[in-house]
Amino acid sequence: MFLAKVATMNYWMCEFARQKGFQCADSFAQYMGADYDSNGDGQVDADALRYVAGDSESDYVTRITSTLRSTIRDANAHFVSATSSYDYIQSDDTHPTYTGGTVTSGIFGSTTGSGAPRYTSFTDGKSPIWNQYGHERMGWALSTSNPPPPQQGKGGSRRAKMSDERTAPT
Amino acid sequence: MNERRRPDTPRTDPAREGAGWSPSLGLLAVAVGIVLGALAWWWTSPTSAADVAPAAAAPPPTVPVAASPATDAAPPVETAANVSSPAMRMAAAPAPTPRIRRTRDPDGDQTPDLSDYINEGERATMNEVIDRLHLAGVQSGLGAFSPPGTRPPLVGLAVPEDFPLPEGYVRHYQATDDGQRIEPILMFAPDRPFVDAAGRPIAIPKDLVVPPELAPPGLPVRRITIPARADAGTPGR
Repeated sequence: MFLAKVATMNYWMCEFARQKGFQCADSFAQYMGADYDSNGDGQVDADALRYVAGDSESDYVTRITSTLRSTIRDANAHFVSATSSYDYIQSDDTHPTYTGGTVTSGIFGSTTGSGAPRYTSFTDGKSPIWNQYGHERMGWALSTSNPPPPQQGKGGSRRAKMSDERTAPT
Repeated sequence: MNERRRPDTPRTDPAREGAGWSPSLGLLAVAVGIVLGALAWWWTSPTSAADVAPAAAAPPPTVPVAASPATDAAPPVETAANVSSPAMRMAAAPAPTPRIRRTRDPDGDQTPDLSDYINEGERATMNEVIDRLHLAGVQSGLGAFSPPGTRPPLVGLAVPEDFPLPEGYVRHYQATDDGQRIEPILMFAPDRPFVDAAGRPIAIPKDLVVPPELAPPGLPVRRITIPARADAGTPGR
């Protein structure tokens, strides 16, 4: 029941985004699906779970809650292979993990920190830690679709990227 | 009964004249109580204290921002009510450094926000913030989240990167809340049965963390330790 609600919500997040000209970085699939083919269907689990433009709601929900149900696993044990798993969730059981420095926003009275890039080469567009932390995974998913360049006289591009994070922004 | 008092009639009872004035002990106690209460209110009032004592000469007070004179703005009624309880509990805490001054435009938006729950200059942890929100009855926003530590990292046997994992075992990686990698631990692979050498089913822990008695042969038995916070003293996320 809960999974069906989550799947429906995820579908409409991505579907509404598509209708508005956005592309969807499906964090549900990225977090909950393994990075290898665990059920032998010929697809990497995380890819097989992704929302596909053109899906109907019933097709998508059936795929998530029934067809691929056995490949869905909680994000505090995200399997990158059959023998290695990573906890994507912090100890508050909500926010995604990360590594490196942070930038503290002003809600506590000051804005501090810096976020310099840590890697200069990205094999296939992926940093060496792209699937080892929740934030890094989300960042990679967002990087896979580039908005088109702004168009003259049209007020810029209206296409953008949208992430349907299962967790709230930090 | 309707007799009018004559102008020369004494106003006092002659029987009491001889005793002189004698104060009521009860009324006296009430009066002393009122005076002491007023003094206590004046002494603990942040505004009054700031008016009397120069800021440089007084120790840094830990006062709720909503009542701070630095804002120069009348705090929202709801904010003052919500903040007073948790903030007053902080009054005895030592003042942290550095001191952060927040100002709010007196002509701007006075809607209560998160900073109303943080004492000026204080670097509160996320647990403290969430606790204060809950005490104030706020269950939305940050108050809707579970506090850090709700699901602490698993502690188990360290499994070196070069140790060949037998069938059915997993190397599990975790991170601290401040972004430090935790040494991987040995876990059982999920969703599969385990049997002993005689083929009998083995009960494995619910959290799938491998206990020392079930460690595979050849693995040095050593439990990991969780790294200490690298950013101790800074606000939680």
